[in-house]
Amino acid sequence: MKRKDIDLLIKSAMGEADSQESSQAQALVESSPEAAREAAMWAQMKADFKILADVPECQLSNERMRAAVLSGSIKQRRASAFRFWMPAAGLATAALFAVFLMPKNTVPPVSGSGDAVAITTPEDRMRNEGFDATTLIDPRSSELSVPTIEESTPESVAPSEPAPAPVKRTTRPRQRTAQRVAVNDAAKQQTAAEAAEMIVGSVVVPAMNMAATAPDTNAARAMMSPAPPAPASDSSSEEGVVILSRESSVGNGAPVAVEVGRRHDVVFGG
Amino acid sequence: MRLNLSHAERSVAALKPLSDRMTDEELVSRAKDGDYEAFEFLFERHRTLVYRFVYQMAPRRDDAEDIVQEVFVRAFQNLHRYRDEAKFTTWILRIASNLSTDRARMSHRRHALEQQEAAGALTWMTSETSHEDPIKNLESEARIAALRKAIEALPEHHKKAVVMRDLQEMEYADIAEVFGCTVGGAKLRVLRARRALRDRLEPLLEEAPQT
Repeated sequence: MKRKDIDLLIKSAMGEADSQESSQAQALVESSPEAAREAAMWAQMKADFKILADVPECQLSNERMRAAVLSGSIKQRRASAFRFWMPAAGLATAALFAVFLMPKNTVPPVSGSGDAVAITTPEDRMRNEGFDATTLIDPRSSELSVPTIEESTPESVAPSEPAPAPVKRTTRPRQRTAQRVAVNDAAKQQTAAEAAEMIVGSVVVPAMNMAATAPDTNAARAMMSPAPPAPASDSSSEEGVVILSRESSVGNGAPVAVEVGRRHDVVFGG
Repeated sequence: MRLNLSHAERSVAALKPLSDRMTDEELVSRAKDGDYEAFEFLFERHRTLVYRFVYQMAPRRDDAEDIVQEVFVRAFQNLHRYRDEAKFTTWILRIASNLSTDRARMSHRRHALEQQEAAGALTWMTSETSHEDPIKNLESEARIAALRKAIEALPEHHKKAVVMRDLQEMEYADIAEVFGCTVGGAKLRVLRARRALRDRLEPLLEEAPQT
């Protein structure tokens, strides 16, 4: 059937056709069995519409309506607000958790105060290998070779007096250089605490007794006597510490080295 | 017949005691001035009309009362936007139409259809058109269930047209106001909705038991 014919039959079945349209629909029904079935279906549908239109009674009371109007609250608004704020609150809570549970960076403690820091020099290695420091001394040398240690003076222990000339450290592996240390009698009398204030640098030298020497070139010859027998311990524990004091040697103006002790509680550098 | 109230007429209406004889426009005018009782009169007068419309449109039948409540709350909150040029019924049905569409989009149509089928299967017990012949009863209920199913399966704009014209028996002029179109446009919408309903109903009727 054509769509135009179907529309005509619907209009007629629903009571919306005028007189001319009704006649045309009637003629169509009489001429076509298919049109007759279509018209019957729509007529039945109109009757079924009336049944479907019958609905249960509305139970919405005046009191409930009044409460809803006066409160001005609508379920959808509450739900939409809930849907909006809950995710935001969840994100904020998650962010707070992340902040509090985040592991803090820990900085390893700087070793220095009171901690033994073993500093191994080539001389230590030579000593460990059985090399005798006294052989380094050249009694014929008129010059006093001082260890060249290049260190910076920390401000906390910087002396009020002008800092002594920096001492370069020229230790080279396997280099056998004569190292002569000038020892001052006065420095020898200094306590370890006072000596710590004058630290400008330190170097671990082979275990030697730094005996006081006369403030002359011959002081260089007065090398330390061989170290007394060390207690039975690790060779690394026999390392002594030499501090270059503020005072200069009278002879050549070089800083005076003082052995603090055989322990490694020296702040190295600045 | 529509009544456009002048300022003087509104003043007179404001002095009259509330009664069922007052027109919708008079009641709206008093409700705008803050008289909630006037709005209650409007609610009681049009509650069933709105409920029947929403009942057919609601994806879930138990949501119909909630939607009706929401319709009148919005109507009260937007009374200042109501103009006397339009009928109050068409204005409030337009609100109901929009809310029903919104609710239908939010719901799950398949779940709603299943529930309505279950509800339809039980309506034959209370049907007023029960025939003495049980076979005919069965055919009738199967046919009605198929028709309901076909209406529910229609797109929202087709469904509104069928509900307003064929179930609510509204005039084309009122349907045009709800849709916001001309009367000819409303007739065309209803015609297209009926074609779509027929296309969906035919296969369902073939499945329904026949004598």
